[in-house]
Amino acid sequence: MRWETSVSLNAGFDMGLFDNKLTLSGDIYETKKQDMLFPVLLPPTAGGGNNAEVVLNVGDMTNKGVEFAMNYQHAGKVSWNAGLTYTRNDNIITKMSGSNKIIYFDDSSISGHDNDQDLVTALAEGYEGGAFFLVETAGTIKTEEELATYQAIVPDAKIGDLKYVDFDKDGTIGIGDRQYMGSGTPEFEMGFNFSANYKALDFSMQWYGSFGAEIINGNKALAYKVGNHQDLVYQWTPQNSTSDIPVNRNATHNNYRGQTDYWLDDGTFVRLRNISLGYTIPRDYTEKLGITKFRIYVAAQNPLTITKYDGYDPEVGNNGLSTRGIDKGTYPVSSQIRTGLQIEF
Amino acid sequence: MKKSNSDKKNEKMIVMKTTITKRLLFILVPMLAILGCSDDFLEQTNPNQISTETFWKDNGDLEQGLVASYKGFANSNTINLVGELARTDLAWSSGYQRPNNTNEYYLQVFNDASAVPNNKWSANYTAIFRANQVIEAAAVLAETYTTEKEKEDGLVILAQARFLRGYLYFNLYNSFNGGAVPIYDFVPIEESEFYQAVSSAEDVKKFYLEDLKFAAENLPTSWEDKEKGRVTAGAAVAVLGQSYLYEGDYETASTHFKNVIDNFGYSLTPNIGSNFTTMDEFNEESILEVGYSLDFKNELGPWDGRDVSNSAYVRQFTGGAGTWFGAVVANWLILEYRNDPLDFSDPRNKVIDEEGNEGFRKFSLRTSWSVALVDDTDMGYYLRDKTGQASNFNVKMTAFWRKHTNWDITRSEEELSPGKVRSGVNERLIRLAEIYLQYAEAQIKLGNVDEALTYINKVRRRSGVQLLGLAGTGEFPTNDHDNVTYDAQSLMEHLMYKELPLELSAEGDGNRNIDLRRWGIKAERFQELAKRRYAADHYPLLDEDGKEVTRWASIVKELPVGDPDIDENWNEFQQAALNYNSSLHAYWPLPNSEIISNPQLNN
Repeated sequence: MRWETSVSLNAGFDMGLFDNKLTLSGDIYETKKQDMLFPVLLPPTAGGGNNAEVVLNVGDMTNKGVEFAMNYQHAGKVSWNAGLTYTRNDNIITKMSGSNKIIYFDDSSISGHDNDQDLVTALAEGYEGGAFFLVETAGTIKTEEELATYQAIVPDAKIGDLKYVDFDKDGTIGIGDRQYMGSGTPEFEMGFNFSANYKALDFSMQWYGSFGAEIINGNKALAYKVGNHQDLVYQWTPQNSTSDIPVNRNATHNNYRGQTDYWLDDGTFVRLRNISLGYTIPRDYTEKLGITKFRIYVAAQNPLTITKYDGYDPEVGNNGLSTRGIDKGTYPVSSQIRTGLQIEF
Repeated sequence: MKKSNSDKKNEKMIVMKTTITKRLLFILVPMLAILGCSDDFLEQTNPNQISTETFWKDNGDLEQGLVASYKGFANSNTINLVGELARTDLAWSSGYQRPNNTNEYYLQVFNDASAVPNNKWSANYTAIFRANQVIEAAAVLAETYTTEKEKEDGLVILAQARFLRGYLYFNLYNSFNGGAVPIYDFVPIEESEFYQAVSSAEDVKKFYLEDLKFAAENLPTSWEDKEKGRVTAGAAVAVLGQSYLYEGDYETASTHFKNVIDNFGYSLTPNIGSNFTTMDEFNEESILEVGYSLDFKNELGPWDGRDVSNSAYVRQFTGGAGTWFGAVVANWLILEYRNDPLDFSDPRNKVIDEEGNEGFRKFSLRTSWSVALVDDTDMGYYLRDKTGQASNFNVKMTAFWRKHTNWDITRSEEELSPGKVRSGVNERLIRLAEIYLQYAEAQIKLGNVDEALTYINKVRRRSGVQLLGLAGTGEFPTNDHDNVTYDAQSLMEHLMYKELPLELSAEGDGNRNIDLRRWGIKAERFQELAKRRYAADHYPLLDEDGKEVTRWASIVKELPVGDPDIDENWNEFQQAALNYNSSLHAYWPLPNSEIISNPQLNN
């Protein structure tokens, strides 16, 4: 065991242009971690039981990134302010120093079902920390010919089962068939703020976008496993023989296991976080009543999310690396619409 | 008093010395601080924590390590009897009313992600890790012994640890991946040592045989008082015999079994029931037994790993209040139990009914002590006079194993252990009757049908069951015989489908699965059983308050195919017959918890 070392390089700028109407700021950084200390998942044969871990120097990691922010303020009859942010972080494991070159995280099972033991996120050289390693699937087995071919790889396959792709071409489905399938880390994130005032009206909104992350829909996997997902109505049956929804055989059957890309979804989303529109009654009227400010407003929180993700909420978050991007029953954010009166004396 | 001159001088010298020391310190401390700042200086052993450097100092430490190994061995997941049973022909395992069944083991659709193989694997290797620590430390300590006593004690501890390791590997060999599993004969310390490839089945066998031979030579044959429950030489020889039997080396197997039978003082208990509950634990028939108790650790919460009771089996097997229906007796086996023929010459089979009429038992003693049948009027259940009074025997799961439960000492499991799932019933992993029957199998294979009959009949006679063979022959000519001439084939059939299941169902280390596999009959067996058709009769009885009640559809009967009374909901092994694939299901697969964390596994 050695000490972990961390070397950071950092450069940045701040600029104000046109009388500080336009401000720009930027940061660029690189952090290199060497001999990173990390809990390593031990095999049960080592004697610690299931999911035992030991902290070891696992390797080196680099974080490179940029952060930009731009803001423009306009004063006038209509005064407005617009701000744009852009952040990007490239995380990469540059070296795995131990004899295990791909270390899975012990808490990265996807559904929380009792019999769900498949781990999906890992540290591996050349990939970002917490990358997904999954078996690719290619729909269901729909014909007898397809079944016969596939049975050469998976002898107990039945028609209507999920078809795994033999990625390493070794004639069986095994750990070697897992391939890199992105991660819960977005490629870049953007934010946009806008506010404006016109006479007694005020308006503001805040957008946030996350691009390029993947999500594993563990909620869906759980609902499949316990047999109460609405998709199961449309599962493959002899009468519904074109369906790509695999047959419900049981919770741990290959059809519904966490190790496949069946649950993987595009996690890119753009969300309107906040929006509000207000009207302040001119002071002349209100002051007579001893009121300094009387404002009526309509505001909404998370009213709009643009995404292809079919789970509850693409903003999965979760902890640093191991469960990032795994929607293991993450409680979805609520959306609210409020109207209100703001009275100040 | 005035100080003398010399005192003053001394004082001065001390002052001088201290100033010099102080000055030196000013120079030395920063220097040392700089020079001394190597990594070693920062690496300190935590004095509050036991480490390998401070432990393993004497036999007392070894003994503690051994206790930890026993505790690992006692983890019910090392066997996982319910999971093993579910995939044999002996049980209906579902948890739901027939015909619903989602049990992946019963349906033969389990895979490397299933819980039973994962838990079993981990439990065995955890116990092996502990035994290895004792074995390694014993080797180091052996150099330091000064007295004969120390040396002897150390050897016996080592032999126990090696028995445990050997038995656990025997267990892994018979359970997983065709016998090819990673061998750990050391305590892993370096990172690279945590990842071991599977060894060939041949090497695994060689490895555990070494351990068991060492144990057989160095363990005592018995233990006294509080030490009862520790492993013995007899157990080691018995496991060696089983290993040779499973390999088909009947000659060597017979030698070992005969050795167990003749030389270790074992004998069959007069009552077969002594082997199933808390009654008569560690008795003369017991060869390998795991001790559990309700008398300790009551302060722990439910499911605490430090508990010394067994929480895995009792609710799965019980038919009384609070049953989970984890595994109930398969229909064909219920019928075998119902038809286990009595030896009418045995006075134990005579009963006097309520009106004072002399008659015979409805079921054999073996049946009554092994399973709970609704119409068993000669045996109580959960402290009720008649078995039928203790449970509804409905939902088409109508015969429960009495083994592993506390029907003989409490009215309900909940009452015995309120709020927790616990049982103090010891697990008899190997008992003499099993060795008799396995010896008989080896003898049949060697062509000695008479010798085999003798030992099968010893087992049958103990339970007052009609003996096999021609009347007036054998060791007990005056007992009732079935008057059938057996040859090797017919006796083997009898052993496989009647004697072994009736005597040993739902017991031991899950060996029914090993047997079906090595006999090569598992697939056919499921197919054959899947064809059988059943229906059930109702059974009226007086409940505890003397009220007349009916146990609906509680007595299963087999009907010929095509009979209009057939109830298809009683069918069994339909899915197992379709799904069983020996290349996938004969052994447990290497579990996915190992595959994902061990890059060397298949290298």
